[in-house]
Amino acid sequence: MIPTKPNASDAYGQRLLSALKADILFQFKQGFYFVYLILSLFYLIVFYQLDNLWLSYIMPIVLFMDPSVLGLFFIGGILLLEKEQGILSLMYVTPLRIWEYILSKVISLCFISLMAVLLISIIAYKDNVNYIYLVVGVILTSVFFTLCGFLVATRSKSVNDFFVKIIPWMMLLILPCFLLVFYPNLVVLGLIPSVASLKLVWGAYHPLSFLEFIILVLYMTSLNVILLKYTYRIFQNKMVLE
Amino acid sequence: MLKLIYFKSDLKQLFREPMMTLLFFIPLIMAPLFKIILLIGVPFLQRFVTFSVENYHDYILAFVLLMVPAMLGIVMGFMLLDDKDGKIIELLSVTPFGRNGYLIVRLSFVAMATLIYTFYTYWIMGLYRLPILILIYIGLLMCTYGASIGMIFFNLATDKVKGLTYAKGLNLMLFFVLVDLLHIPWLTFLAGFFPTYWIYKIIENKGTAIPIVLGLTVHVVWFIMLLWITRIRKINV
Repeated sequence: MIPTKPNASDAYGQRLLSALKADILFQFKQGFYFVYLILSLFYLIVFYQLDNLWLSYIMPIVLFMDPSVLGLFFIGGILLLEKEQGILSLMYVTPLRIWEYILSKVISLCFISLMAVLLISIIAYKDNVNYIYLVVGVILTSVFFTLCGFLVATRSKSVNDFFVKIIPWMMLLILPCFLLVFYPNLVVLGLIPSVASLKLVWGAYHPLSFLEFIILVLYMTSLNVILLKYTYRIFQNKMVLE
Repeated sequence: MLKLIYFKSDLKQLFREPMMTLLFFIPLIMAPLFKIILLIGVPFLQRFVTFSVENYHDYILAFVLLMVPAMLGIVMGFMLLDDKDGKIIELLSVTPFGRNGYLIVRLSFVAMATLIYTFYTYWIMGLYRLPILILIYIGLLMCTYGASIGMIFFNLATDKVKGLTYAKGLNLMLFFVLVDLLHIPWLTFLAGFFPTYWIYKIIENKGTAIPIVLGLTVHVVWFIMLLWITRIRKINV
């Protein structure tokens, strides 16, 4: 039997999978899953009392504002706790690559978002939902907000410092979404990433043309790729090397 | 005299940390912000709905009032976590001030700020008229609520990530204010065990004795239970 050398891509996948497992376990131990289960149950109770017309307006907004953007806050806590514990400075002596570390955090937080959103939507919404739009919308939203949180966390000294810095960012990202109420057909608003994300989630419950969906997906995907590359560079320079 | 020094030190810590300063002063901005949202949002909403938002002013007032102790309790919780990390509690436990003295000062700081902000928020919102005695009573109940939130943090959170998780979970208690709108008997029964529900009931019923007595009972039971848990757990000492 001739031993075969492991494929490089297999090794990448294996490391990413191990990091992902560790992250999910950590988040489970920290009570993220428990809190979001309780929160989802609470939303289900409330949504169950509303008729579908109200729900079609309230549900996408709530799903966008809460479970989809959870990464924005939690990533700061996780990252800065790991920094305090000295885990980041040990990264160079482990086989784990920096991008694998970032991806693992992003995917694990995205997973909680997706679970919470699907649980609420499947049980509470009785009309038709375009689940492809919803899943794609939530993934892109979650990745974008987690990466934003990642960037802010890399420039923060402590968890408290992170909170101070994240509040203006949160305002900057979330407040333009309210403009959609007054100008629902203004195309330029879609250039604001948070508005584009909200449009995607909204599109799962309301008519959204396939062309607009594709444009929004391509736009958000490109933004996320650029943000991922930028986060990688900043994270390496600011957190790991320093 | 000794306690005054600790109050001063609390104030210093508050201003040293931008996050603490920000969160402690957010209630100052929050009330006018809600007022503006109501002034702009309600006429807009009224174009689409047939019911009058005015019928829900008691819910809105209870919700905004309760956000103050919830927020301040969490701020204090994070300050306590900072002290836990810095081993301050261990140091203080061997001084005449002791661990209990430390906790009393910290929690009364939240209580005092809550009381001041209660009057401020009520005055700014100007939504719903309450007898002054009832307002003072609500303010005092909310002082114990804010302190309870701080103690829950102190007892449960071992690090700031856990603190974040608990902050998210504890905020759920605010929604018990709105439970009567849902007309679910078991949920209303469950809400009865939480302090937040009784703040709304007192506001809704103004001078009625039952919510006043039951509200006091629930707040006191929560506070005593948390003090008892804190004493048993003796964290970091």
